[in-house]
Order: sequence, then structure tokens, then C-alpha cells
Amino acid sequence: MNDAKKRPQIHALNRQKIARLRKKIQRFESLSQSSTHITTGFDAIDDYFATHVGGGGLALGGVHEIIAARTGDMAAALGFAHHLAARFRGAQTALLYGQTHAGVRDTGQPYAPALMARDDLIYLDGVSLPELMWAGEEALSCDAIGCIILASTEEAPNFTFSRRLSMTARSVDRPLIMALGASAAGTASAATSRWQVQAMRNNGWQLKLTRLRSSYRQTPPAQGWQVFATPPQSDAAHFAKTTPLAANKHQSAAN
Amino acid sequence: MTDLTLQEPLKTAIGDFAFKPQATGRRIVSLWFPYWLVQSYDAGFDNTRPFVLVDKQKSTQRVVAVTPQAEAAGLHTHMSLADARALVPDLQTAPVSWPAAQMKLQKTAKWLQRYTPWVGYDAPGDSPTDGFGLLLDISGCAHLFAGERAMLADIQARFQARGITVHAAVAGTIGAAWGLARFRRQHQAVILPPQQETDAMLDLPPAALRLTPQHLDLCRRLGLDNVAELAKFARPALTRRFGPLPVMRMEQAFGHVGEALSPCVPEPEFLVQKLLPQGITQLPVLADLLTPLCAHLAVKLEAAGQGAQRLDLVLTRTDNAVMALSLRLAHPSAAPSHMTRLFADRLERLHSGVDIGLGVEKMLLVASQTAPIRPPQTAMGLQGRRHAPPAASALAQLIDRLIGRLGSQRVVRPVVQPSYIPERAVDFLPILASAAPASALAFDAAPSIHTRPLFMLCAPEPIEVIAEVPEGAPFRFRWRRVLHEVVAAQGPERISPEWWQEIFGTKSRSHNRQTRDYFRIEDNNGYRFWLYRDGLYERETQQPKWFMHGVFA
Repeated sequence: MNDAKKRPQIHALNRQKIARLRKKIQRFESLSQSSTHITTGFDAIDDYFATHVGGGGLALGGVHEIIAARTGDMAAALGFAHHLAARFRGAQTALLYGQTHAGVRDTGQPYAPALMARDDLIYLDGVSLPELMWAGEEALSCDAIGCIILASTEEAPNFTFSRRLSMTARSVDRPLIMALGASAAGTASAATSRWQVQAMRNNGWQLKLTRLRSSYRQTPPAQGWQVFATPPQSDAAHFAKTTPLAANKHQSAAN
Repeated sequence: MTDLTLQEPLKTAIGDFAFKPQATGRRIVSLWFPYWLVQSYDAGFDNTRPFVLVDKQKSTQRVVAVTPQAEAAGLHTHMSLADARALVPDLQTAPVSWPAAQMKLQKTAKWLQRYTPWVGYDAPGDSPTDGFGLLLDISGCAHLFAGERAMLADIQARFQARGITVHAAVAGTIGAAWGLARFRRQHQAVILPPQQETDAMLDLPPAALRLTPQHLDLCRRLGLDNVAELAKFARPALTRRFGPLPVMRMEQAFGHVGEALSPCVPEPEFLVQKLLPQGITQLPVLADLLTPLCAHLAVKLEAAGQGAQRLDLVLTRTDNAVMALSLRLAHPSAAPSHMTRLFADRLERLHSGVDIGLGVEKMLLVASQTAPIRPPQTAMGLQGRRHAPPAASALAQLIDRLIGRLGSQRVVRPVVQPSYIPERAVDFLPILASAAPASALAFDAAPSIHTRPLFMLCAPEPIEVIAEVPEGAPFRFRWRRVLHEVVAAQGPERISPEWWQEIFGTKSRSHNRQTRDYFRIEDNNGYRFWLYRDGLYERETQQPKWFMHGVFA
């Protein structure tokens, strides 16, 4: 209504038309809502999803963005991405993991002994962002792929790319995880969920759900969740399973 | 006979440039196996006694091949078996198998492709002499084997080791090489320097010209003992008396006219082509035209129960320039839509870089490598419906598309290697090259997977470390210009160099001669790292260096 007042030149007929088109778009977008919902494996987060979010979990079909909170958090973001991928991925399906040149330079290559998905991993080593987007779209339409992780440290895909991938992912009901650098935090995207990951002391992550494209009764807590223990299926579980790190004896002297 | 007018020796008669030998730089090897039939006969016979192979020709048993011993006993080919037995009563005989001998020759030809890709057979009917022969075009290949002499010596040694007699000659023309291999009988290979074919051929017998028995008979009756005498005649007279063959053979042998050597590569079985008379200048149009071409090829492949593993698309431009695109497939496929899509991707990518000039006038699609595929079982009553391909082939098709666009070096899978050195423990191999990984590899359980970082830097990066005691964990370090305060550390995990690699010399990388002490580090921001000190303090080095090797999630 406000818009109409500001711009009275829009004819009533056009307004009707616009309203009709908007409805149509809404219908398209709600058409393929994923029926499968996946829990994250972290109790605090799953409790929130169970009580406040329709479906009781993360929708399987869709793009999930995981953003590093700080420049150094890319590894943590990718760790969470692999953790989610392990939850999303069914048996007998492959994981496609693509990384841009800058990503390979920054965090290096995935190291197979620490990967749960090492046997079914297809790794795209250092490709450009458009190629990465293309590969993601190709892989989404392949039945043998269970989950896709695309990592781009330096630049985020533009809204058109993001929307395109989102629509495809929702229509085929298959998850695609975008792991992005800290600079992507403010960018527009059509993702189903957006997480911000920050590494914490004592083998922890701080996870903030900054965006969720589902109906929810209560907004996710602004301070996020702090998680320490990871479930055994996770790729990132390796640090949780080891004995706690011994405090460095020189630490107290330093501070 | 009177119309055979004698002329001056040939070389003085050469006035016109057409007779100038063409300096093509071609080098042809002719190999002659005089006892091929008996030496490739593998059913076994007593080496010490004469042995012949016989064939039934016109209701008589005739000798078709003899061993050197039998030859020494006076036996020769074409004699009847009865005559042979009269000469050598305890003669060993066996029926000849031409197809088996031919098959062996085919195998040998294929083996000889280790020297040059261009290996051909002697043309049929060329051989009034006994035995079998092969031709190799070694132009530009000899230097890879340390020169022609070494190459021929190598070939001869290898045949000798297999008990096969071979005479070899190398010359600039097929005719000269053929003649020299057979008639300049000497133990070593004949190596004719370039441009000397004419001189070398002149004193060989007429049979060296690859003539028919009728021609040779005529030569004998005329008393022509060598090529020089034949070459003295005016060519029109020679043609009138002998027909065109001797003149042609002489010119071929002397290098005045060219002669093609057809390599014995099998004709591609799965080949389709399309002529485009107008010349297509638009790549998208070309991509559209691929659809029927691929469909056509798919029909051929399906009929044979084969799937393409490698596809070559050859585009011929109107100016006869040729462009080739080749694709490797992860999984043999006969799906036309898949092939079309792969080529369309490739063409799209070429769009900016490819120059199709005035247009493409011929498209040729070959499945140059195929493998049998099981045809998918189609359910009755669902004929019209499209079936989703099974997961394995869906994955293979995805991999093909990824490789087609990104290149095979970019689409990889990790393969665990038997090594304790962290960076050697995993290799990324192109998916096409690496078979499905053996997940139950016993070795990968050795370092617990929970103590390894999720990400490994491509190369260890040097860091500046402050540690309170030289053997201890770091206390503060600078990596990529950022200072990290260490809050917690776990370690060391000591990884020694793999001394057995040094001993057996399987791998030697200089940076891996020292023991490494790995530490898991957590800094005050919660970042977790995997770093190591290279070398044991005071035992291996005085100034140990530190390296960042991996990042934990």
C-alpha cells in the first residue's frame, strides 16, 4: 500500500497484474518444498528445530550456506559443511566437493585419513567460481550424488547463481552446501539456510543460524549455539574423540 | 626383341626434373623373415632333423616352407613332397596353416609399433621370394633408439632371441628397402644413406624390383641379370615389352614417384561421418548437427553391444585444415544424448578459442575405443517411458561431463597410499586413471583418523616459532604474517623418515630426511593447527625449522 501511495502513476490494472505475478512466483517457490528434514546432530540446535521450526529439521532439498565468521574460520566452516554433508548423504551416494584456487591456497586440500567420505569423494581441485557453479548444477541433477559441497573463500556467487542453484536443489530435493569466506556475510542469496561458524576454544564451534527459509515460530537465538561434542558419523568428529588437549604449561607464564 | 633399343645408362639420360629423386627424408625399414612359416610354427619339431611344411596344391602335396637344415639338404619350396622324401627319407613334415602364420605376423606387426606407429605389410603378390615381410616407416623415429644402426640392431637382436631369422634394410624408398633386405644378403642390417637408392639398386637382380614370376621369367630369357641392365632400356620400349609394372617399380624404388605405405591399423569399426556441402560457420549449428551423428553412432554401437570409451570428433574445414576433439568416457556408453552433451559442452568451451575459418565441411565421429556393455533391460509395457539411468552409470556420466569441462586433472579422488609420511599417505589421482578405491586397505587404519587434520596444505609452510625449550611445543608462532598465541598443545607425534625408501631408493625427497615432531595446537582464537618441527634438536640439527602442515576444522 505504501508503494502505491508513493508511486500513484502505477495503473490499477498493472497493480493487479503485478499482484497476480507475485502470487504466481510465490506458488512456484513453495511448490517444491522438501519433504525430508534432517537433524544436525547437535542437541541444542535440534531442540530448537524440533520445537520451533516446521518440519523439525533442515530441509534436505536446498542450498545451505555456511559462512566463516572471521578470515581464519574457513576451516571451521568447511568442517561444519562436511559434518552436515555426512548427515545429509545417504548410503551408496557420492559426495562432490569442489574448491576454488583461493580455497586450495588458503586451507589446502581435504586430507583423506580424516575424511569419512573418502571412498565416495569426487574432488574438484582448484576450479574457478563459474565452473564451480556449473559443476554444482550438473551434480544436482545426478542421482548418484548424495550431497555437494562447494567452497569459495574469496568471492560469493551472485544472486542469480544462488537462486538458480536453489531452485534446482529444491526441485530435485538434494542438498548443496556452499562454504563461503567471511566477506560473504552480507551478500544476498536465495539459500534455504545460512549459518555462521566461528571456531571456539576447547575444540568447539559457535554456530549462528542467520537465515532460515522455513516457517518458524521463534527466531533462532542471536548468540547462536556453542557445540563441542560431535556425533560419530561426522567427518569433523576426529577432534572430539581424542583426549582433551593438555593445557600448555607455558601459557600461564605468557599471560 | 629387336624393338628393345639400347640406350645410354639411365643416369645420363636423366635430363628432366621429373627424374630428380625427391628429397622426402622418408626412411623405410624392410624386414624379411625368410623362414617365417617354419619358425613361427609352434607345434614343435625336432630341431636337428630337416623339417618342411606342406600344402596340398592341385592334388599334389607340395613343400611350402623349409628349415635352414632342410635347405642345406637340398630341399626347396615348390618341390613336391614325394621328391623331397626321395632326397631326405627321414623328413619331418606338417601341414601348413596360413591363417596361423598370418595371425603371428599381425601380432608381430603390432609389437613392432614400439619402434614406430607406422607399420605395414608387404603388399600381397609382391613376394616371389619365400617368407614374409613387414615394412616400417621410421622417419623421425630412429633418434629415439640412438640412431638407425642401433635401432636395427635392436630389432634383429630381439628377433634372434626368439629364434626368428630376419634380414633388414633401411632406405629412402619402400622398393629399395625391400630389395636390399632380400638380395643384399649380409648378416648385418643394410643401411642405405639417403639419395643413394638408384646406385644401390642397379646391381641387384631383377627380382629385387617386386616383379611377378612372369616378368622374372622373361628377364631370364632375355639374359637380364640385374636392375641396371633393365634400366638401360628406353622406358616406352620396356613398357611395350613388359607392361607398366617394371617401370613403375623402378621409379618407385629410385624415389622418382611416391609410394604409400598403408599402416596395418585396423579400420575403425564405429565410424560415422557427415558431409556439409555448404560449410558450417556457426559452432552452435555444428553442435546441433552432432545430435543425429551421435544417434547414428549409438545405433552402430548398440547393434554390436559395445559402448564407447573414447570418442574422436574430426572436423575438416573447407581449407582442408583438420581439427580433432577427443573425449574419454568414465564408463563405456552408447547413450546418444550423453555423447551429444559432452561434445556440446566441449564445443561451447571452445567457442572463443576455435577458428572454424570459412566453415566446416565434414564431420567425422569415431568411437576409437570401445568395450562391451550390457544392454539395459527394458520392462515390457513401459516402452515409451524414459527410464532414469542406474546410479553407477549416472555417476559415470556426471564424471564425463565434469572431465569434459574441467579437464581430467581437476576431477580427482583421494587414494590412500602405504606411507607414514603424511603428505605421501594420500594421492589425488584422476578418476579415470584410478580404479575404485579399496576401502578396506589395511594400512589406512594405522594412523588413527582422529588425529589427522581435515585439511592439509599443499606444501608445508615455514613458520616462525618461539618455544621455551627446543624440544617442546611452540609457545607462540607467526604463520602467514599473523601471530598466534598457543593456548593448548598436544604432542609430539614423532614420525620418522621411511628408511626403507632410502635403502631401496624407491623415492627420495630431500626434505624428508629428518624426523618430524608433529603437534596439535589450539590458539587463543580457537583455531586448530597441525605443525611440526623438522629434525631432532641436537641430534639431527642445531637449528630446527618449524612448518605448518594442516588445519583442523
